[in-house]
Amino acid sequence: MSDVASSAEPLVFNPFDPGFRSDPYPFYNRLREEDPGHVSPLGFHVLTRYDDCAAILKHPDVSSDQRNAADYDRWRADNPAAAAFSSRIEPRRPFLFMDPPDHTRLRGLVSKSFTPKRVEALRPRVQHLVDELVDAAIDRGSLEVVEQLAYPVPVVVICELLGVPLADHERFKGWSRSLARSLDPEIVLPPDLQKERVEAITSFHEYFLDLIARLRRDPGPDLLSALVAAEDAGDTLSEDELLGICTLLLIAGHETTVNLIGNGVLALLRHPDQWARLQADPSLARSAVEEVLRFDPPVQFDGRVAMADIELEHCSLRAGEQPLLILGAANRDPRHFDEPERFDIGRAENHHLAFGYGLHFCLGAPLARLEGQVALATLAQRLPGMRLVDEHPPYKENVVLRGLSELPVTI
Amino acid sequence: MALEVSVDADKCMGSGNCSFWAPGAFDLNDDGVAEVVDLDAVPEEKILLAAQGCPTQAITVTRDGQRLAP
Repeated sequence: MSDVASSAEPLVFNPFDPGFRSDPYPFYNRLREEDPGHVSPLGFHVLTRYDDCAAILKHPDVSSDQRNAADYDRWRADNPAAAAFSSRIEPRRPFLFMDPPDHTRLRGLVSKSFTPKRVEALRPRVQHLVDELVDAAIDRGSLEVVEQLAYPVPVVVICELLGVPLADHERFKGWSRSLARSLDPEIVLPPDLQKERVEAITSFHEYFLDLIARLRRDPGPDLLSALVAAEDAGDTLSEDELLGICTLLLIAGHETTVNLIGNGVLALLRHPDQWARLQADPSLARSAVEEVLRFDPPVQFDGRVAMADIELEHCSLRAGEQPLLILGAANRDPRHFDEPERFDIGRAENHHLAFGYGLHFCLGAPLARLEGQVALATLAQRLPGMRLVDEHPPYKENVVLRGLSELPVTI
Repeated sequence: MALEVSVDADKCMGSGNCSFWAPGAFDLNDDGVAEVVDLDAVPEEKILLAAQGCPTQAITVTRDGQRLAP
């Protein structure tokens, strides 16, 4: 495109550049404005406009199952380590990577546990957890937001909801971390990580098989016990499918909301006027969380396989192609958001794509919203003097998931 | 003319977005499917926000036979 040719630097999409990781948004803006049908050096389309991303996410002719991609067999042949991992995970595929009718059936088994009403009932528990962690920070006189607040809150909540003993947490913490990284493209995963994630998924499956056997003998009031009963009751759920659900929910509970809270605290402390606004009016926590999700989403990328030729305004997708959707770029599309670069915690109309769109819209959205609201509102009320220790805190290496590895603050 | 609002239960995938944008107007039933509860619970613009924010466009809003959303 002529616009691209006239730009100072060529537009090459390289999300692994360390500079990109600290602030990808200027690059996203260029991509979205100058080359909305961008083709990456690896040959896939990169979509950055809101309407294009939303169109794909809600399109009837797309699949979330990568096995439908035209180059899937070739990819397997070229990447034996990755193929070993996918052979391990495939029979126990989480519904995140499935299409209807299986996706509908499996998601339906757990969706009732995540409705706004059910989740709202957890509010006192979430508030109590956050208060305890803030008490501890006040006693210590310091706070590292990621490890001492953003991580433990969603982890404790998902473990309790599922019925996973928190005492086992040290065992699966590392497995969860390796599997979260394995959402990233194969090409960026070093060989030791490729091996590590095969071990992680195997350990997870063994762990859950053991836990399922225990819950079968001695069921509790938790979601896993209910799923075990559903599996036993008949043909709605197989054991492999149950394992896929367990790993998905546990990992999603460990690796996403932590980034919502971490990215949220960072954005608020970088915008002292907005931080003061939240202190003055805690009811803004609701719209503040939506604004964090728009401004710096924990899940940056999504993908689909086109199952038919799809014409978008700026590019034509062939059946079998896998476009990459940059949600973080769509969320700052000026065609859709007024002053998208402005962090405004009172933004009224905020249909960001941070939770996705269409059939796969985030199952845990009500829970993530609740945890984010309670955490940010409580920090604003109880630790209003929080300040960043480091203006540019370090990020985790993940590409698809965007979050800080640590966020020390003075209190 | 008042708004006319309907939810297509077959399209609804239970995101809960409608009850987030228009609490009191929509809620999810025990099957996790959205229902209209009380359209007077919130200002009209919130009803429109809820319909626009539905990830599967399961909510239709009309007035006087004219479609306002999706």
